[in-house]
Amino acid sequence: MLELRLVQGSLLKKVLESVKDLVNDANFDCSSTGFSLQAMDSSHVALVSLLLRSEGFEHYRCDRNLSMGMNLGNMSKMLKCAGNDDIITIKADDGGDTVTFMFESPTQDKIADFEMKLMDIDSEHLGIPDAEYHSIVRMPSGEFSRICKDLSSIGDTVVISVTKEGVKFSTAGDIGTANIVLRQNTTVDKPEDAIVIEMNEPVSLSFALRYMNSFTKATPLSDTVTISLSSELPVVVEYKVAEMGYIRYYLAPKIEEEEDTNA
Amino acid sequence: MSCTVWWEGAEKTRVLIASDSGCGGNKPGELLTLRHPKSENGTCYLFSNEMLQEIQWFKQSYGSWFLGDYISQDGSLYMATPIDPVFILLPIFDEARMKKGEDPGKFRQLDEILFVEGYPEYQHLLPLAEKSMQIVCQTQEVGSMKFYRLDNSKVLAWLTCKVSCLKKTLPELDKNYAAQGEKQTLVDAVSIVGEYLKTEPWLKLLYDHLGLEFVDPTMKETNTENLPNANENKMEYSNSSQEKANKKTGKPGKQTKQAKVETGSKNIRDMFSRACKKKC
Repeated sequence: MLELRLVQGSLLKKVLESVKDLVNDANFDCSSTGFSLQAMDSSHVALVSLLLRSEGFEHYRCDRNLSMGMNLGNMSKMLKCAGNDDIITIKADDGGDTVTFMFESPTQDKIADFEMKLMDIDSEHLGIPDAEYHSIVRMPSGEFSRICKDLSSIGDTVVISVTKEGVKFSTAGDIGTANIVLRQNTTVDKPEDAIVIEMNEPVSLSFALRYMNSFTKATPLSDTVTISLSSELPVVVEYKVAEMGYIRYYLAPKIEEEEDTNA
Repeated sequence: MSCTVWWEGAEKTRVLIASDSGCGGNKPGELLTLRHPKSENGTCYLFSNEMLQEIQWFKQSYGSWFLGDYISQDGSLYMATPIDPVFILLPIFDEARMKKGEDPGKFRQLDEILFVEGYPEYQHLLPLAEKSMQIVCQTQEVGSMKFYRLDNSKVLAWLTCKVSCLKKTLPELDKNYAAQGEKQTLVDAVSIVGEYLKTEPWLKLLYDHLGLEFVDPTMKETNTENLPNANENKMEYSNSSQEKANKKTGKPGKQTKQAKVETGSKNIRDMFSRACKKKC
C-alpha cells in the first residue's frame, strides 16, 4: 500500500511541468528513501533524475518498494486540476494497476480524486558515477533560463566554457554569433542572486540548446540552478526542490567535429 | 548584333535583351498576348525555341538608343527572361477543370483547355503545355487521347518547391538578403512567387500550407528599407531567381521545417556506462 501526502502540492505540479516535455513515459519508484524517477529522453541524449525525500512528505507510507509506470503527459493533465495551494496525496495498492491523486483544498471544503491507469514500462537504471566535476557554476535560475532562450534565437548549439575569467555561453548561427560572459559575484543583497564559480580545471563543452530550454522548465522550482561540468561527462543541471530533494538533468555534449561551433 | 542595314524597312524599333538559348536559329520567335496569371490583363510574352519568356519594360524619361549608325527614338529597354510556363497556364487549367466545392472537376483535353476566349495565342503553347503541365496534373489516357485535370496537392507541392529554391537562392544574390533571418527570407520568397499567383485560391493556400500568416502583397510594397531602388532590384531578383527556379522543376519539393531530431550529440547511456566502467 502506498500513500504519500504532500502539503505543498504545487511542488509536485511544478515537477511534472519540468519533466513532461522531455520524457513521455517513465517509472516512478517509491522506496523508504523517497519518491524518485530516472528516465532518458527518447533520443538518449538527456537524462532526468528526480528525488523527493520521504522526510519532505507530511505522511509517507510505502510498505514495499514499488515501481509505477506512468504517462507523464496524462499525469500532468491530472495534476493541472489541483489548485496551487492544494494538498496532494498519491495513493496506490500493492499489485494494483492504477494510481490515485487526491487534491484537498487548504480549507478542506473541496476534495478531488483522479485515478489513472498505470503502464508497464521496461526501464533500465543507469549508474551515475559520483564525480569531482572540473567546474561548478551556481547562478540565478531565471538568468540561466534567459540566457538559453536568448541564445537559441541565434543558434542551435551553446558552448559553455569556464575559465578563471568566468563562465561564457556562446553560440553561432545564420545571422551571426553571440557570447554571454558571467563573472563571479557574491556581493549581492540576496544570496540567490549570487553567481558562484568553482573552477578546479577549465572546461569547454558544446550542447544542443533545445535540451537546455527543456531543462529550464524547472525554473519555477528553485531560485538557483547549479551547472556542473567535466570534460568526459555529461553536464549536470540541478534545481533543488524546496528542502525535499532535487531534479537533476544530465545532458551529453555534442560530438566533436572540426570547428562545428563556427558554422 | 550584325552590322548590315538591319533597320531598313522597319517602322519602329525596340531594344530587347533576351537569353541566348531562347533566340537564334532561323525562327526569331513570336510575341504572344496571353493573360497575366495574377492581374488577368493581356500581357506580352516571347515564345522562342520552345521557351516561354516574360517581358519587363524599363524606360527613363528622356533617352534614345544609339545602335551602331542607327538611332532608335524610343529609349525603352525590354528584357525577356524565362518563365516557368506552369505559372502562366495554371489559371487556364484551373478554369478548365470546372471545379465546384469538394468535387475535383473534369478531365479535359489540351486543345480544349487552351481555348481561351479572346486569347487565341494560347494554342501556340500546346507542345509546351504537354511537357510542363504533367507535374501539376492528373492525367488519363484513353487510346491516343490524353486528358488532364489540375490537382491541388500537386500544385501546392510544386509551389513549395519554387519557394524553397527561391529561399535558397536569395541570400546568394545580395548581402542584405543574406543578413536577414530565415523566416523573413521565406516570407520574401513567397511574396515573389505570389506576384505570379492569384490570391484566391493559390496564394492563400500556399500561405496556409507553409504555416504563414497571409499578408496582402500590395501592402508589402512599402517595406523597401533593405533594397535601394526597390522596384528595379526587385525585378532583377525575380527574373534571375526564376531562371534558377526553372531549372529545378522536377524536384519533389517538400518544405523542410519538421521537428528536429538531435543527431549531433553523444549518447548519454554510453557515456555513463563508460564512466562507470572506469570507476568500478
